[in-house]
Amino acid sequence: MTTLPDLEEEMLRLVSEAQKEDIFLRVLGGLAIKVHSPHANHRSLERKYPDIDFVTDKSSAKKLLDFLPEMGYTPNKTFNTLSGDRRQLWYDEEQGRQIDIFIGDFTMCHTLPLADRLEVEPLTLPLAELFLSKAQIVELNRKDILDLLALILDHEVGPSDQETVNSTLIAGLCAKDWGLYTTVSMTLQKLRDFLDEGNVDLEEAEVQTVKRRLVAIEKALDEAPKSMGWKMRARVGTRVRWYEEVEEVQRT
Amino acid sequence: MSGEARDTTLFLRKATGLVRSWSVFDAFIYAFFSINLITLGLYSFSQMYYFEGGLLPALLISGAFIIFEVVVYAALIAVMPRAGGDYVWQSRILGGGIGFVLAVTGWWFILWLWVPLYSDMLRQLFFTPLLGILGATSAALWFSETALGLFVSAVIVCVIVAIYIAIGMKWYSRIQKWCFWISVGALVVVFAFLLFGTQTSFKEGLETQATALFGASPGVYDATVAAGQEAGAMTPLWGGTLGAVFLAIPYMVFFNLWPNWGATLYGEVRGATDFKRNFWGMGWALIATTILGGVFFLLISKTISWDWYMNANGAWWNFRWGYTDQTPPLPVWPYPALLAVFMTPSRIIQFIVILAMSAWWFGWSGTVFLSSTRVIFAAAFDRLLPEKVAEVEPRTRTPIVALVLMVVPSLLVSALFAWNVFNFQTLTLCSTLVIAVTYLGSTIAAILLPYIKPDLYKASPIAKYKILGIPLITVAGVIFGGFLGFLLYQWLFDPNGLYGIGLSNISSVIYMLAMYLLALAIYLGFKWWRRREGIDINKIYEEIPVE
Repeated sequence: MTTLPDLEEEMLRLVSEAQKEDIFLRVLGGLAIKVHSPHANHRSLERKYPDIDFVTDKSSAKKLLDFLPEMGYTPNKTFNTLSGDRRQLWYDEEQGRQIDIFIGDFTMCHTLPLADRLEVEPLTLPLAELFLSKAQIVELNRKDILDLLALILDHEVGPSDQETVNSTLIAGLCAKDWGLYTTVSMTLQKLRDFLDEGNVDLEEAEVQTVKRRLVAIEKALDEAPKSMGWKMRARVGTRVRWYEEVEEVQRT
Repeated sequence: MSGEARDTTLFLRKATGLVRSWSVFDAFIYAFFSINLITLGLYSFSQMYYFEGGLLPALLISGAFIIFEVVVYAALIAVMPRAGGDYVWQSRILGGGIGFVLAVTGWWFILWLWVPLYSDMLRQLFFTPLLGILGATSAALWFSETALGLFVSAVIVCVIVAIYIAIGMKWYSRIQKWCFWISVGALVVVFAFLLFGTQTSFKEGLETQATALFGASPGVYDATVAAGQEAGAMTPLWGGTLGAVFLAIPYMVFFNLWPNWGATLYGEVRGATDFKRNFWGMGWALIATTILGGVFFLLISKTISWDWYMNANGAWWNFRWGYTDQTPPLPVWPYPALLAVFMTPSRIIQFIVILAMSAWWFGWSGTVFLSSTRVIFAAAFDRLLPEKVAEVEPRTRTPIVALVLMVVPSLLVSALFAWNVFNFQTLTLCSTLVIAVTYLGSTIAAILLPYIKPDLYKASPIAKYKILGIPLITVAGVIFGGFLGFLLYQWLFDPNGLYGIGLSNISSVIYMLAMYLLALAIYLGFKWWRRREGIDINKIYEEIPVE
């Protein structure tokens, strides 16, 4: 089967075909944010999407070995052999694109537990996890910032998941993990700085909306009760590295 | 001004980042266990009872040379941090034939011989002392002395290692970490016993405990001295001529030549392109182990007495190697941790300390096959082995075919070793020799890298390290290569008749030649087969493999 040139159409094709095979796939990353956020098409928040990121559960991961080649994808054999229980890489050689599949949890600078949250949304991860999947990155790039701004601009922040960035869930995870709390807090500040420096061409009202929602998230983070372990780790502070190092996979 | 130009604090990551399975600390623990003081160390020290050179200077001098090995490997890893290590470097720098033959023999075939050695250590460190402490003297001695006891241990080793490989790198690192902390804690306790004990309390403890636990006859202390002297035990702690000390080194490196044992795994270690990190990950393992080894020697000398320890070793190995029919007065391997806990009458304390000390074995045992799997995978990805070899069973994540290729021949070699067919028990040091040849291949590749692959070298993070204008990797390679040359000369020609695996040992020569010929046959066979399929293997070797 050949892949589709349009990335969004390809993403929808894969999810739909996977459902027919009883394979669980949810989208995350920039493309998932685009699905939820009309402002991702705004001229100043628009960006290119080079790959599709999916998350799946452990039982579906085994089925991908047959499913994805049928869909026109080639595995990164070395990577999948060595790390395929946590992460898999597949290539669309025809279109020069990549599929990145997280299995079980999402692990980058911090680990986000996803097992109980995979079925909240039919196509993507819930908005709170989409927010965290970007906000947990210590070395944010411009695309990450644009994705986060689009997501926050288009969604209210509150205590539920219904087209809302669930601040209770974010605060709960950050209250358990001082490292995650620290990185997310830094990201919130970076977003504010990005807006203040005029790096993005938004209306003043839009800027204020984003800033108000960032404050709401920050307030939720600060108000959530913290454990003794969290407080002890906070005393050590950033003198000790609080996140995992992230690298890129070299294809050649 | 565009946004791209202004936000200079942002990063240029192209795709979703990856967190590799192992941290540098995990790599350090793997290296620390690979030059395992308690398993490999005590095992080889105990066999070195007949040398004239002091073990302490041999430990220090060999450690000084092996630091250059760490430099060579840290640099090679930084240039090409790929799963498969030696195989990838040699095949890309020196050529596919050399890379395949040396890597497959040194990282795969010879590991079959390591299984009975790991098994021997398992029974002497774990089954025998613990069963003895539990009062099961017959079972303890059955494990310790019989060929079947060794073979059963080999089967258990294969099962444990298969589980380790199946659980994946993440879980392996967790278990390894638990074992690390437990084993270090246990060693501190053993050191405390030796530090606060006296030679009198040791002698009393030995007389009481060895008779109660293992059925030794009264007067075991003096009888051991006599048996050791008869065996020719003489190795000093400190002293001997420089030449005599150097002659002890080819035996000692059975234990400490392996801080780079994780080299094939560095495709899965974070920040592996950082030379300094790689260096310190392995270097600290070597330094810490050397210091701990020196401290252990001094404490043994203080409380057990060095001469008695060497006599006990002589008595044991003289019997095990068949030079005498007389069962040694101490009928079990003289395991210093066991000797230390003889100074307490408490069975519970004895049991807990010896059980905790076994974490040295359990944290290390996965090394027998784990590194090898990566070499097998890398060769399979290069199409020099069937693709099936690199397949992982989806449910258990176990590379079943690769495991079978390691386990089945290992059990066969273990049987030959256990029942000493074809004199297999004399081949212990072959396990080191063949790997040293592989290391020599990588060392030559390292020496030549800046000149054979200048573009790769100049683009690498190690290009800035030079000594008097000569690349550091070349300088370190020449020094370590010279050291390996000395070791290989001594092993192969053995002018003083000290190692027993050289050209004078027919079993040794046949075994090693058979392995190299098998590797060469596989290489030529698959190259021919792939050519028939339209695949030019030489083209594959022109490219660095993907991650």
